[in-house]
Amino acid sequence: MLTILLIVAGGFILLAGCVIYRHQCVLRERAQLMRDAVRHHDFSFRLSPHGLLFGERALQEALNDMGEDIQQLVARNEVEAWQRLTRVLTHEIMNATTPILSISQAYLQNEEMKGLPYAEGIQAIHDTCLGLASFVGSYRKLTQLQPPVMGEVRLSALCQSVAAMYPQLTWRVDIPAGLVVRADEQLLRQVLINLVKNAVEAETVTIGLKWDGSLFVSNDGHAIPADVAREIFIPFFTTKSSGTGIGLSLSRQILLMQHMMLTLKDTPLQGYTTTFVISPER
Amino acid sequence: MYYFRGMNQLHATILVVDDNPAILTAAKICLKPHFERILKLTRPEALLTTLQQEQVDVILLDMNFSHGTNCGQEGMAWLSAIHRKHPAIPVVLMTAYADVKLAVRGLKNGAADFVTKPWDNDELVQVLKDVIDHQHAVASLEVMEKQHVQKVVDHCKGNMSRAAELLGITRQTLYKKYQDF
Repeated sequence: MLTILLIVAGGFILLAGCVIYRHQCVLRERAQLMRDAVRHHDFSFRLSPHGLLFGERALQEALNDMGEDIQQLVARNEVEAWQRLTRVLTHEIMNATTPILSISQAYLQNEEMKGLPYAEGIQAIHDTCLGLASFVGSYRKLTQLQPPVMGEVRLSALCQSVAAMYPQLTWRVDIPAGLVVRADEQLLRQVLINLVKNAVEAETVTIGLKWDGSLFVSNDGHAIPADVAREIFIPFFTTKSSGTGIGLSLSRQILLMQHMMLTLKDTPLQGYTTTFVISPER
Repeated sequence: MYYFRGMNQLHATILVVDDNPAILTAAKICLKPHFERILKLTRPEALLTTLQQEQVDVILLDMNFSHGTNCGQEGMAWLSAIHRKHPAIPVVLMTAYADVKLAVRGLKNGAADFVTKPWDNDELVQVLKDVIDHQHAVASLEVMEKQHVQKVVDHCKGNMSRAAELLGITRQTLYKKYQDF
């Protein structure tokens, strides 16, 4: 009798052991998955807590959240690093343009210069430097932005008002009517306008605005090539046009001050070539 | 037509202080046709000695000497030093573009005016001329007061108490003014 009991008990223990062992293997696999993700700088992993015991579920969710927090920290760090570099660079550039502009202006205004062939060259030097100073100047002004005046912004109304500025485009706005976000309305408007301006330069016909926890701003103009996609947020990058836009780098900074992130989505939304995402920071 | 360079020059001395020699050169080229003497300094340490040795009408002072993040601190310190030792000499600050906060702080600390870098030549000249004119206006007010006080004292034949009464000030104030003359 005892032997049978012992055998049955042993069987149960073996079974339990196997189940526990398999479960541990599953956990180890998860750990490896997360390690690999982090190694590849992908902090956006979100492993499902399905099949976990309640303690393990809590651990997994903590790790998921941590991953997202690190992602936002890294992005914020990058923006702030660019901000510091921009400040130093613009300062140095403005210092350098000072004597160039002053001396060339003085020479051009000198009576003895009238009619000499050097006037043309000096004028070219002066104009080029003026252009540089003007571009850097506008950039510098914007890097000294006032702190945002946060308020309750009715997103749908804001998007409609931006849409009204570009009647020549087709607008597909999919935002809940009553949706309210916490932001600086003027600054958010500026960023939206900047995105639309870029899209217009890329010869878009349609603009899509959709809310799904974040604001997805899409267009169907020329797509951004993969190798360029990483550079678009670097300061001074978007200077092809006459410099009327505020640039994506500054847009990112402006949104960061309102605790929102601006990113380019890897795969654009259905029907579009490009999608930007404005997401609230956690 | 031959242009007499010297005719439009104001009989004034400008002292320019900036650690960038190119900016000193630019300032000299820009200001020489308008002001008789332009003195240049690359290091602010020599400021006070220079002010003791030379008769300076306006100081054009750069605000950023160190390349660190404390831009403006050093300039502000020098501004205070000048103001303490030579309160009669106006100081015009050169600030970085769009650094309005620093400029306002400078004005509060006694600067006469400011220009941003890069500057417009004509504007720089005008600012300096205006500062000199203002200084002359202030100086002539002081001269007038001095003459008035002297006249009253003479009228009272040296009786300071009587003079003070006529001037509407206390005797102590009158003595102090006399000492300042």
